[in-house]
Amino acid sequence: MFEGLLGGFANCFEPFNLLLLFLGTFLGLLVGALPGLSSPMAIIILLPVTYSLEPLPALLTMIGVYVGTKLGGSFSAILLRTPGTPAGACTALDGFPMAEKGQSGLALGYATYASFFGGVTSWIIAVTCIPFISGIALKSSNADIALIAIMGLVMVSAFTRGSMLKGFIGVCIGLLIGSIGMDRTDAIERFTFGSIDLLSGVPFAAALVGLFGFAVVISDLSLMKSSSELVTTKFKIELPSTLDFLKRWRAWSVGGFFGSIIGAVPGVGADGATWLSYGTVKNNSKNPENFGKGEPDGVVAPETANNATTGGTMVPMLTLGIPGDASTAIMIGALYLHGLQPGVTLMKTGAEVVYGMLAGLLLAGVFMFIIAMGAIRFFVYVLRQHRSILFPFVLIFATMGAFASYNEFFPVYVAIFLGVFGFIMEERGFPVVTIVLGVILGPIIEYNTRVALQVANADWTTFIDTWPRILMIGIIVFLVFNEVKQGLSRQKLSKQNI
Amino acid sequence: MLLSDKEKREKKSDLVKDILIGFFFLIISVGAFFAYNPADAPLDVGTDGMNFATYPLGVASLLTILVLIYLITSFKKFFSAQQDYNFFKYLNQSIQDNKSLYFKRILTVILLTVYALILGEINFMLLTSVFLFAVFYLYERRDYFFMITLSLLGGGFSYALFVYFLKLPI
Repeated sequence: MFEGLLGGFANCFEPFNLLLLFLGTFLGLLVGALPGLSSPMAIIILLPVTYSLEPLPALLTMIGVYVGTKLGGSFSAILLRTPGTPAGACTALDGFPMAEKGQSGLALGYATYASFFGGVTSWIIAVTCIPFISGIALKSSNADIALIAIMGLVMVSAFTRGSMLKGFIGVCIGLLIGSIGMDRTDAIERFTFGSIDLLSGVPFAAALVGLFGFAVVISDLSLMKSSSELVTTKFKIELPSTLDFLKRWRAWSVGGFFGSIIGAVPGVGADGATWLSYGTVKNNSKNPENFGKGEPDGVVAPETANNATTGGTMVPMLTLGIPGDASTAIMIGALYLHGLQPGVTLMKTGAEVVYGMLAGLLLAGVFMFIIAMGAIRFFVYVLRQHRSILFPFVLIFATMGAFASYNEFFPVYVAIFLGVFGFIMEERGFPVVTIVLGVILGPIIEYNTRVALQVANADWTTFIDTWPRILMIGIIVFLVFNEVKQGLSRQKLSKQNI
Repeated sequence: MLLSDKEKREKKSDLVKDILIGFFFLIISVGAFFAYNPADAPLDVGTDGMNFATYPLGVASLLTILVLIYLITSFKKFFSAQQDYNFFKYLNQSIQDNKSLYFKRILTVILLTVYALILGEINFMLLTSVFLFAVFYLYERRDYFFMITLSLLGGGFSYALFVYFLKLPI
């Protein structure tokens, strides 16, 4: 193992490979920060370019993009409340209020630190504990995955400031949107209204672009006259002190733990990990009321979790050939394209590539940290400009982001529709992030529930078969009752105010 | 904490908007019961005890219940508010006060839709430059030299990035 890893580092340090890894990370940061352009999209776009390369340089470029987008997504989330990636949406909850308070430099500093820490943590876990983590991931049955996803949805509803009811309504609308198209189990169309374009469902990129790109621009037009006051003219990156970061051990340890473990669970990906980490840290905080108003822990937890998934997702991908998320699914495709066989035999047939990728994962984290320091300045310069300059470009990039997902115009129309819909919801206090989580996790819940029930011959007690499942159901029930209790007491207070 | 008359009026107008959006969601949730099966496929139950309709109908049922709770709560709040209130008068006043903002929002959506509809029909760089200029104008920039320069540069950059570099088939 150790020798293989040393060989991997030696391969990565070849100038051409190092250059591609660096460029990939830079591109990842850039793409991640641009609303609507996500990591899978950037990797897909890069795929034809990497055809002509050897397997390792091609995959190193993709790993660079993959790692870079994780942090890049937080740039626009913090500075513009327009997350570049789905996982960045969670960071916006506290990152943007921090920026509004004039602490944008510090918020970005926390995000950079946390991302780097999350990446290194998960890398150590991935490299040293591969047998252990892959064992857990392998044991995750469909019932477990369904319950983890449901837990994520309940968590996100709990994040809704003021009203859990609004959170649940948003989640349900997201679940309905996620069920549009061909049913995966029975292959029967649902909610397609006769449209062939809707057979494959609502394009996910379009949902992101619409709900996080267009909706935010339409909403924030009210701020048009005020040029960005998020940053000062003499901007200085404020990395938190080591002591301050260490004091936030709950946030980064929870983020690192959830990111690494959930990243290793196929299909859930970084989105679930960030929300779970955020919810856990918020619920265990001494000051939960500060969350959503610019609490640094609200940036540290999701950002650590976000980057910690990079190591976690590599485990099932490299050991079992199972993708942890969309980006690693595309990387598996790239392995096939380069004549390698992903799966349990990959460690034997392509050990050089596997160890090279693992080494590249750590180096990409280092590059990410270094580049981010400069890139933050660049983005702050861009974002310091008047909104009347920024918003038209956001509209163009978001439109292209929707188009590039399918290379068709249909996702653009869907994005515009969802943009207007998202704006109306946001105006009435329904957080659009709940819809997006519903869209992401809905198909995962449905598919895994059905497969679990098929295996158990339609016996629903399969969901309380094991202690971890009972624990997860316990957490879900506790969260719902806790929120209902809090909601009722809030209602009493508001009655007194009228 | 007691609210001022103005705050009470604004609160009541918010409650009216809550009720309206509640009905909007109710239409979506009830509509889901009629639109879930466009192909009129048979509802055969599989070995998992479910079929393709179980999940969407389950979600639609849950949404209906939640929206009804939301509507009942909003109505209760509305009727418990004592302030005399004319929604249409308030709406009219609100439109007068925020005419420019509503105009910008509606025109942004229209411009974006037109841009998306004719994308691919007209030269990408030219169309993007024109779109950028139009949106700059809509957002009340009047420094024409800067607007034209930035529109052309933006169009050129977008072309280089999306068409030349990223090879998008636009």
